[in-house]
Amino acid sequence: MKIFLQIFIFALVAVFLAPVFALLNEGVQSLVSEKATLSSDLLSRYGLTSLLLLAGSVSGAVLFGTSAAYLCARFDFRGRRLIQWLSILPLGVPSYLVAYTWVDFLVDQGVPGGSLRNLPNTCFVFAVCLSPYVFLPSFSAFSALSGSLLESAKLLGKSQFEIFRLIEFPLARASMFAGGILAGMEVLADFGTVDFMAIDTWSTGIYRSWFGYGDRGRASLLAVILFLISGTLLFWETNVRAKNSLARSGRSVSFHTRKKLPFIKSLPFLFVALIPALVSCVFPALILTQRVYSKSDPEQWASVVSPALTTLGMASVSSVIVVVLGLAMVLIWRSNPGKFVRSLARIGALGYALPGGVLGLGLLILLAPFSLTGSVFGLLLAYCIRFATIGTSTLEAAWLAIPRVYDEQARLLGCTSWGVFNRVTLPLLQNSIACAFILTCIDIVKELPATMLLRPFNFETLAIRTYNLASDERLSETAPSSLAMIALCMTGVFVAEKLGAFGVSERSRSGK
Amino acid sequence: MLKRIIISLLGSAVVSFAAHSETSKKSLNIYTTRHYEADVTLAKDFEKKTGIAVNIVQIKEPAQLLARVLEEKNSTQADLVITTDVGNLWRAAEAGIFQPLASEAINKAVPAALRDSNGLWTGLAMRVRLIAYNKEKVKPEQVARLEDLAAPALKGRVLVRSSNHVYNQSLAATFLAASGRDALMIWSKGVTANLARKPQGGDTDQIKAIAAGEGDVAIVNSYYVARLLDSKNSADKELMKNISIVFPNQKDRGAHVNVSGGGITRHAKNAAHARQYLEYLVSKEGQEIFASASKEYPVRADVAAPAVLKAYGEPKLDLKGLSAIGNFTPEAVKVLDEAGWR
Amino acid sequence: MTKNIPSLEMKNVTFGYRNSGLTLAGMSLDVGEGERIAILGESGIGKSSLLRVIAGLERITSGQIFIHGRLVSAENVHCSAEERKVGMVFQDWAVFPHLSVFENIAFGLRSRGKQNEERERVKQLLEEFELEGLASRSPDTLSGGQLQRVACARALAPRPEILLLDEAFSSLDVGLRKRIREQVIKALKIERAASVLVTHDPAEALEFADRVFHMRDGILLEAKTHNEFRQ
Repeated sequence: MKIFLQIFIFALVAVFLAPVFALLNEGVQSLVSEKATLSSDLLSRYGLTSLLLLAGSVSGAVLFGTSAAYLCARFDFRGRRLIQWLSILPLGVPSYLVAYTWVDFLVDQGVPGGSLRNLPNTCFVFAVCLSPYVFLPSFSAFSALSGSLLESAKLLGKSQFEIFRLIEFPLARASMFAGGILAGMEVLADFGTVDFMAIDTWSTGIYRSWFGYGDRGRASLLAVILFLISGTLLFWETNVRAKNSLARSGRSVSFHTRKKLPFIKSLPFLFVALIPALVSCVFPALILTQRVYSKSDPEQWASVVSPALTTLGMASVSSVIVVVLGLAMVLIWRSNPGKFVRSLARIGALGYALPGGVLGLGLLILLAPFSLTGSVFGLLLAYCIRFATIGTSTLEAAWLAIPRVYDEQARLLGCTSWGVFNRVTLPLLQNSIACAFILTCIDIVKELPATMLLRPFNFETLAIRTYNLASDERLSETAPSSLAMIALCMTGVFVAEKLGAFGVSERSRSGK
Repeated sequence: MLKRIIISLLGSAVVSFAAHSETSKKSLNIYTTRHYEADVTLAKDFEKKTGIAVNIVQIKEPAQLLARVLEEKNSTQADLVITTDVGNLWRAAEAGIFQPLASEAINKAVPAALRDSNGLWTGLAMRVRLIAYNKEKVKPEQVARLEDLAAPALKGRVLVRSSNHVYNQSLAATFLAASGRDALMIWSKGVTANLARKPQGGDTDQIKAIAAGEGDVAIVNSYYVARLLDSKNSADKELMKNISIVFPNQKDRGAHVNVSGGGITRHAKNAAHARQYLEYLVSKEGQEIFASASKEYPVRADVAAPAVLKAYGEPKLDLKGLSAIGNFTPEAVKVLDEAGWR
Repeated sequence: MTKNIPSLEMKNVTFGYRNSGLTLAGMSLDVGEGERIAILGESGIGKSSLLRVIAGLERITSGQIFIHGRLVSAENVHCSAEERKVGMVFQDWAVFPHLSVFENIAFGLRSRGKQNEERERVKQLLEEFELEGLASRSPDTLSGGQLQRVACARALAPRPEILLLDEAFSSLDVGLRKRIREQVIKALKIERAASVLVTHDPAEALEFADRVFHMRDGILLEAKTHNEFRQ
């Protein structure tokens, strides 16, 4: 059994890393060429901008995500469920869409475009759009904090702030961090938003090398470097989390109850918690709806039906695969905690760190010899490689939170390791599985560059339709497909919420 | 638990795979970078006339499209490759993906300057890069040539988009071919020094910026100007109220043009259909659709330019510069980088 | 009680975690059928490890462990936890949060394939532990004492040879503790299961067990007189 698992994980990692090796091969070949190419001066400036953007966006996302999570997990106040639900909504809107919609709207209102496209505004767009990546894990972490721990801190005379600083924050830090890393990787890999916002990042360097200088090898090399940086980030995150998981190893969770919070006191938090949803979702949706109405052309929806179905089909199939792979990976980690295998698996899940267009190139090189380009299979593979991290990291975090004593108890009651997995782990992970599925789905709905490069004939997703209209500078006509995209993702969020993906321990508390 | 997961996996797999398997006896497979509605109209019209089903993969970035054709080698499904910008056609031809067109009809319809000298591709439609300016603040003779945008009088008033975009890269390449590296460097430094704001946005954004008073002069594409002039939307017309255009460099090399074109792939399985389609595109009917639906300049002399643009005269075009674009682009981008044109 | 085959027999067992010294240093112990043993000791000296070794959750370094005469642990022998017929109640009970009280108790039955008698068996245990009204309740809605009884009932359901209790009563308040302890003793008698309780509370050890041991320096010393409880 163990041998099979090992072979499986090696094979998986090989498949996941193959495009990176293909790129590396391209990149090494470019080192000997003497073509005109991007200067290292410019490149380091791009790199610096990327770092600034990363810092700004991630700290913003952490600020928004954590405030909302803390508020919703620890206090009870009027409208809590609504805030909880609104905090997840930004997931449903790709950041480039938020940028398109706002800039176009504000320019039409007479705001000079030159004052809109800058670094702080770009950070803000990313912060609001990516805040759910932080909200979701910190919400579970804050909710799962042991009630007795908090009680005893209170008995020791600690103030609310001290409790936050000494207990809640350190214990939830790992989750916040994990979310922040996911958000950061998304920022680093982005091109659509930064391009529109006139910010030159490392990705700009990659694409400029390729499209401007016609230097595919150099572009690949830069992409591999980006991949390595993100990889380092991910390892850092893992270490923090590993240290932190000791804090609640072995003990089953006893849930705390929420404190009642008077409406007035909740206002400042409430304000911060509402910004992401309002900026990324509510206002854009209103602007877009207004556009659709002002056009009053019934035909405009017809063109959206087929892309919507395609998007839905691709997203759901790929996400199921991603979740199953994620479970398999985590199962292997749990049963075989050898460091080497773990690291390997983690590297394998790094496809997320590559800009989609470049990952697409790697896959192209890989798939073409098998005549798999332009096939649904090729696209599925691309999605799985790109988004495997979401599945594994979401599930791994949740799995670590399940006390080992449940596994041991099940074994003592006669379960084999498979039995433990099927009868204890899976049901306990149910929420997180739904959560991972939806997160992956939503990211696939929003995915653009890899889809465009690898797609089959007559195959159009909502993201591609939106992007094409936008790049033809017909922003007002993107409204139907953008709205359909938002609606699709929101439905996903809604269904997941109903399945219990985000209502961590909601049920348990109602009984008390 | 696992059963439920497997069932949902299979369920959604069936839904998604049911949609995409359509085979037809007569078909034509196109890879294109063009994402305009005119292209859909043309494909549908062709389908109706010939019964040949047109399948399209659209990849916006020409370099990516080329990468896909190259990697797919002889197993590529593409019969026909259509791309914007001559530079890309040149690169594709260099990479050896085309076979000779071998079509008398195309040779007759399209002037030689808009075709590959080795007969590997043909131009299909053109856009002109022109200068838009604020009628109240700038005189047309101040912006008669692209070179004028570097003049000190326009300090803080020039609007351009980023040099990340192929439009500016090709424009710089023709400039380089016509005037040499030093001239391009001086010019792009001058333009950069004259900028009203950081290069950003699309062509429509430049026009909006003139209307909003952010700057007074911009390089834009004829296609977007024509669309705004012809728009039914009153806000679009309002935008153009104080704006006029000039075709630059009329007294020397002519205005820079951006040509879309296509060629039949070497490994085409439906080469005859591809040829038939290209012939249709350069036919009078096809060219009229280009002119009316996407407001591009036709490549045929006997088809009129888009009506809204005719009011501004018949431009002299820089057709000689076309062949240089592909070869000169990397060097031109290097100069733009050094000049600090983002 | 007859003592033909002891329920548990440990011979010279040594065990230690990788980075520390020996937790069990040549420990021996016999537990007869239906016998109740208590092991006293300060916290952190490896009482829990002893139970984990018996349960098969840890591998021993040397020595031998027999359960009902069958060799389950030795230097090169390790019979895994699910094959040992040992029940265990953890310190914080580990009642599965996703299952009802009934499902929790039936958990070990189902996995051992005794489907026909399942219902009867669970009913019997619900009665023994006075849990009749709670069968369909979710664990989140139970009190500590109730959870404790569910955990005991669940551990006894598959009729284990031995029931291991790890500080199982210590987090309950005094009155409740006594009542539940008596209930568990009664049930152990009905089920005829041997049991090993580890605790730091001498009074509890005395009231629960037939025999009491001190654990010190990795071995067990039997406490014979009342004074020895006080050390």
